[in-house]
Amino acid sequence: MLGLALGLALGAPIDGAADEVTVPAGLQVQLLDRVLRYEHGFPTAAGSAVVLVVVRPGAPESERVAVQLRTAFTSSRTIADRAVELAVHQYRSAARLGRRARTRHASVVYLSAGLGAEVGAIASALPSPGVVLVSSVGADVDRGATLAFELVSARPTIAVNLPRATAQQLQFSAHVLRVARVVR
Amino acid sequence: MTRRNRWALALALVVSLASARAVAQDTSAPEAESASEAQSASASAPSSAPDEEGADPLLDALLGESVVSTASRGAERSSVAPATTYTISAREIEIFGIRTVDEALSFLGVGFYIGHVRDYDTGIDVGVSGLIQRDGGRHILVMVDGHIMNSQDTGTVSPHEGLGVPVEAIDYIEVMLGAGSVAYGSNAMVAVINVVTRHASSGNHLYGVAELGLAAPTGYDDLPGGGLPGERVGLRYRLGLGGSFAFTLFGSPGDITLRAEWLEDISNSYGITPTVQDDFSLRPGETAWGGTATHTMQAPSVVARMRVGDFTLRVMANQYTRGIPLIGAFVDPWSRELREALRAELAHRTSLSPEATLSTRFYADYTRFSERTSYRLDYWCVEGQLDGCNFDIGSAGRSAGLEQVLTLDWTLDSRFTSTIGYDVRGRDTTARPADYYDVITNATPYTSRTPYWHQVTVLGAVFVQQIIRPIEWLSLNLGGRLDADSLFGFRISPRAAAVVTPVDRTTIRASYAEAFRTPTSYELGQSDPTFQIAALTLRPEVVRTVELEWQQGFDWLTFSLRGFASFYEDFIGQRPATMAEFDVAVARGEVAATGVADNFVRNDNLSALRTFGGTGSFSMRPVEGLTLAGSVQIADTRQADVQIPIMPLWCGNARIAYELSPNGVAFALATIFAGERLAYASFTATRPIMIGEQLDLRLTVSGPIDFIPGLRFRTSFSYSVNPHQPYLINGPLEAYPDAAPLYHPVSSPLFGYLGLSYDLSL
Repeated sequence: MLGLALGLALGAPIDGAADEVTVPAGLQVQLLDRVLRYEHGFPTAAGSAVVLVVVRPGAPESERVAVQLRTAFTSSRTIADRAVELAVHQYRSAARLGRRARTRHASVVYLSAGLGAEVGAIASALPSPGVVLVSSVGADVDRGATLAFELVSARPTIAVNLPRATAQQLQFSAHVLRVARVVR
Repeated sequence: MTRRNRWALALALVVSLASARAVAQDTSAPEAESASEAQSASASAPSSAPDEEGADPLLDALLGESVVSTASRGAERSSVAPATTYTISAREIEIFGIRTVDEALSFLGVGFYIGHVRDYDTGIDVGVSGLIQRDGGRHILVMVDGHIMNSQDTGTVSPHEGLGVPVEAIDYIEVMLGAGSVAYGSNAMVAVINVVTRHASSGNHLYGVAELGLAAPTGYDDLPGGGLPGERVGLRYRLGLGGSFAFTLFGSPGDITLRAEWLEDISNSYGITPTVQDDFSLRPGETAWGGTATHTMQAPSVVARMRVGDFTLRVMANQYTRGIPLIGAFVDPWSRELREALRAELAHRTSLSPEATLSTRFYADYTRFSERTSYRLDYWCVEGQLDGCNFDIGSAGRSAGLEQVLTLDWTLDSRFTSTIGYDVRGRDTTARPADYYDVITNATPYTSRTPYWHQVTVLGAVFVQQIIRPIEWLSLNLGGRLDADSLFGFRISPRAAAVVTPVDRTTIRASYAEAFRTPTSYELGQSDPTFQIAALTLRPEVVRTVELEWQQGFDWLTFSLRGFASFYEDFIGQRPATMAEFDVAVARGEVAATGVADNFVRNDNLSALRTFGGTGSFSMRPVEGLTLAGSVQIADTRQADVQIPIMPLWCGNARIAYELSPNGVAFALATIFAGERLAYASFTATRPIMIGEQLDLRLTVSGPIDFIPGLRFRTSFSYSVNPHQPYLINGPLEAYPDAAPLYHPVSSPLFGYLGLSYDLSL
């Protein structure tokens, strides 16, 4: 029994789970819907909002979160009153993701789990201005994501990287910043 | 049938109207914010701010709903959990001046009524959903980061200072009301409490805390003051240190968090009206039992957590020592309660595939309990101890186990999720439940054999759970757990729950669950050569509970109404031993030569109880920074149509807090209230003694000290309007029918403290 347990536990793939997705994906999408209503240009931008969900191939946690995000966006249909056009991107490199975001005119690039080490490079590769880099892992905001969701004392919290938002020419209202963990 | 039609069929018109208001908020047009609010980040207002003040009720509601995991062993919003679940955050603990988990449950919880028996006897009585017993917390399951804290040899748990978790180490407390054996097995009969500790978030930190409290002495009337000889002001202090550090080990990110605390209470003096009765233990020269009492308490504790990649190692160690001045000889230095524990756990969590997650825990515990009291009457001692005896109860448990839980999210959208797991545990228990030492010579009995046992037992359990969310507004949870325990045999604990969310912010929850409590090694072997023989076999205690709850949220108000009916069977208690049982015990050499058959008792499955009741709770945020909240419970619990003692018919709490800014200075007032109660007597009182209403008040001011970043203060003052507790030291007896009720006092009805904490970012 002990050997079996050890085998199952230790033989399992390690996907850097130190960065855990703590806020359920459906709740993240609901929060994003509200938060983006408070971004200066997002709600009034023309056309549908292209959401690029980024998944790390071969990482089960990443794949699960990506599917959950896709399901949640499909269910919500709109974000900040804009129709959602959803695409899934298999991550290979930051440069490739940047090109994809540019050609698809992405409004939101949404990172699933397991991309913590790549966040800085991804943030630099994204076209500026206007793309919101969102992560399902709260700690990614400290690494350069614009927005992320985390649990603080079991309650969901928005985390905002203000310098990154400014660099992307995103302007969140004070109401969001008042309830968010702000990285300055 | 539309959702609104379903709703209309399900609920009354008034609820529909209220809900419609909530829905209307979702679609209202956002408006501009004030310039001062906007200047920090944005030059222009959003095009869709929901109301004139810039508040967004829907966003606030999303941020205000907890994500919980206790009820179904998986993260989910509290509104869809299969049982009533709420959380108490570190922020609430800070601003309401909470010092221990039991205080958090009393002042901020729902459905709890806690008796602080520590001044009278050992332990703590935790009442939940109408049930309270003199059981040392055996009917609740307490965990710290998912690690079971109930002792494996006695089943008891002490959610006060003896729990061993510094209050600053707590991130939040998650409470699941109702039967929880389906997920956790024994002890989870009325509630499951999971204390989740803080861990490293970002960067490296050093923490420090220093707190000093003073408590007023009390007189014979239990009120502050009194001018008794030898009176003193109580002094309570604690010093804590800790840190959290991030690192990389073998290419994997990791962090370590450690908190250590020394807590000491040199109590205020409290007056105990002197009693002249020959059944009280008097020292030579004493003419009465009573006077000015004091006690001391020390509670050092350490909590550590290290995470590397997918692995987490947790270690907890604590010791709790407290004087027992009111048992046996009055204020005897020998008398004290001791609890100590060392707990360790290695956990691993990984995704086997997008659909499958495997969690593994290896755990090991050592716990020890000892209670010493002193008696100066040979009546309480064994033969030959003519001057009296020192009495010692002791038990130690060592356990180790392995638990694995496989979660399968078949459709990857949480609509069809299966959980299957097992838990195997080995327990090694030694106990000396009745050691007698001569009070003069310290000699052990010459002829009587004092009991001792060593027992090795095994527990194996398998559990399954299926969550089905066929449609957006319906969640079904079906589960069961089979426990096979060498202590009693087999027990199946099923649960079925349905959660309906007909519209946003409305939840209707219905459930049926069964739970049990294992008879522990200690209860099976508990014996004393002067009055008790061992039970040897006992059945588990069982509860069957039906619950129905309605939760509703509006713009700035949420409330919950919950009703429950619980039926308990096979409660373990003491009954007189039969002559045949006595004879067998004599033949086994377990009875002292002075033992009288008529005085002997034994543990047995005795009573059946039933409880009908309900809880109501609310939380309001009428303006930014202001919070009003409270709860009330009404429960009628009866054993053979007789109301059980200690538990009031109604009880609850209420609180108000105003925060000048998020995480800023806060002013808070919290109260506990309870109705008239039947006092508990450990003797046979000739008539029932009631105790009046309870009202405890706590005023707290807390916040940052601006000129030193990271430094915070907290000062709090508490006052108990009724200074008595529902436990009797003395009362009308057959031999003393006119004896006045002597309640055991609240240890310090008036106290205050000031604390400073420092978080140094490295």
